Amino acid sequence: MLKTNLDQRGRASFDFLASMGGVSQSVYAELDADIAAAGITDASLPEDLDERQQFMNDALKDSKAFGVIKLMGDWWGKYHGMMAVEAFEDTKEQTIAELTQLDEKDGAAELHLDPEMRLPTWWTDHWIHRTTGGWDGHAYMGYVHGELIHRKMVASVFPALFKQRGIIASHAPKAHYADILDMGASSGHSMIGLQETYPDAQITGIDLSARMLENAYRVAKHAGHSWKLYQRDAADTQFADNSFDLIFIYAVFHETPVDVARDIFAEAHRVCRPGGDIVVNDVTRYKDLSPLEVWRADYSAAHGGEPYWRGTAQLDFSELATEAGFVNALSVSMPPKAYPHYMVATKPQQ
Amino acid sequence: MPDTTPPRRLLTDAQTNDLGHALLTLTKELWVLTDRVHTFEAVLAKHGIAVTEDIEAYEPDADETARRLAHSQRIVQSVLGALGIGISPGEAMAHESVKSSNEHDGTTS
Repeated sequence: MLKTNLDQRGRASFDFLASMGGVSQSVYAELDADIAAAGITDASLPEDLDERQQFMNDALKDSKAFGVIKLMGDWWGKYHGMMAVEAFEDTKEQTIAELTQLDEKDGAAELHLDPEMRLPTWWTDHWIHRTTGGWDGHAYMGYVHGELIHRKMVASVFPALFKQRGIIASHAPKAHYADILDMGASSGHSMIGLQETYPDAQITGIDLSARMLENAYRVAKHAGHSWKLYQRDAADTQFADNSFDLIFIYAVFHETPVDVARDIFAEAHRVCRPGGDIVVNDVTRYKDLSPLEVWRADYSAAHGGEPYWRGTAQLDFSELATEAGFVNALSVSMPPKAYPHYMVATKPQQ
Repeated sequence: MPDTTPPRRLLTDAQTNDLGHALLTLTKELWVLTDRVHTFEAVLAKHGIAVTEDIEAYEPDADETARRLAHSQRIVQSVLGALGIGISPGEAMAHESVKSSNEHDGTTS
């Protein structure tokens, strides 16, 4: 884990967000009471998701709890990225010096960026998670997102989330893998989970974001891992057929349109060796949730910088894997809250 | 002569949302400051200057209590005044200042 520098203002700002997360639970309890008082049940909700949102907006128009939940969520969504950038800027001299040291450190990790790469419009046309400027919106966005937002800010609200990558990786069918491809490696933390689970494996990571890969490279240097990192599209990896024995895709699909998800599955199948496996994690599919739970997830996503969430949550990864040529696909929404959700499948021996 | 500027609508419906954001931003800033005070006490203690208990046990005398009460009421009245309830202390002071200035000049308001 990279060292993070926060001054008092940055630390206290992050603490405030964590305390807001705690407070929101009591507001959600009030919202639940308002929903019950309005006589809303799973059975009374419209089937169509747009109609369901409109129905709930109308039914809760006088709910103060709903107003406060919307306000808190909107404020978090709009400002959390700015707050993290501000925290970075307040300590940037020290941080940049330390990150530069890591960049220059000897090590076996490789970073291959492609400045000529044509990034897909579905990725450039909106700011993922409402992060100001988008995924590459800051020269050190990999550090800002990976270390400050994810490891400091989000982990303080959802402490279990950070270790989830390793837990999901451990659901791969075999105990050992030689060559793992992490599609959508981002800032490198899913690769940490993979490497801890499969210490002997050679791990390759790809991502569209140069800034995220730069952070992954520093994470590798810091930990002494020999990761190979490429700025490449998961739908067109340019790797030879049958290059990897495990394909890992963590929390990528809810950031991609459905047709791109199908392309990624096809590409995953192409580069996976016969007998190799694929492990996918993403948002819980709506069919594993109650109608009210679906409304809540769908509403949060629609207003939280997640335009592709709904499409992904209506997918069945087992079906996509099977369509792509994998077999023995198994999708699991882990109890008690149907989360995390993952799918494992195998490429048949030829 | 009173302020004859005609009233107008200041915030759009969309700015009501902004007002909510501003309120949460101010709450965050208040926490940053509160955290700073806690940190200040902790750092002093680390250097052998334990002030926290003294702060908790500190009782302002009557004059200081009155000054603090006036200060706190001024803050509350400022916020309420901005919300259109009563008149904010700043506005009251400004009016008072104009009035005394006019009296000094021999003009009337």
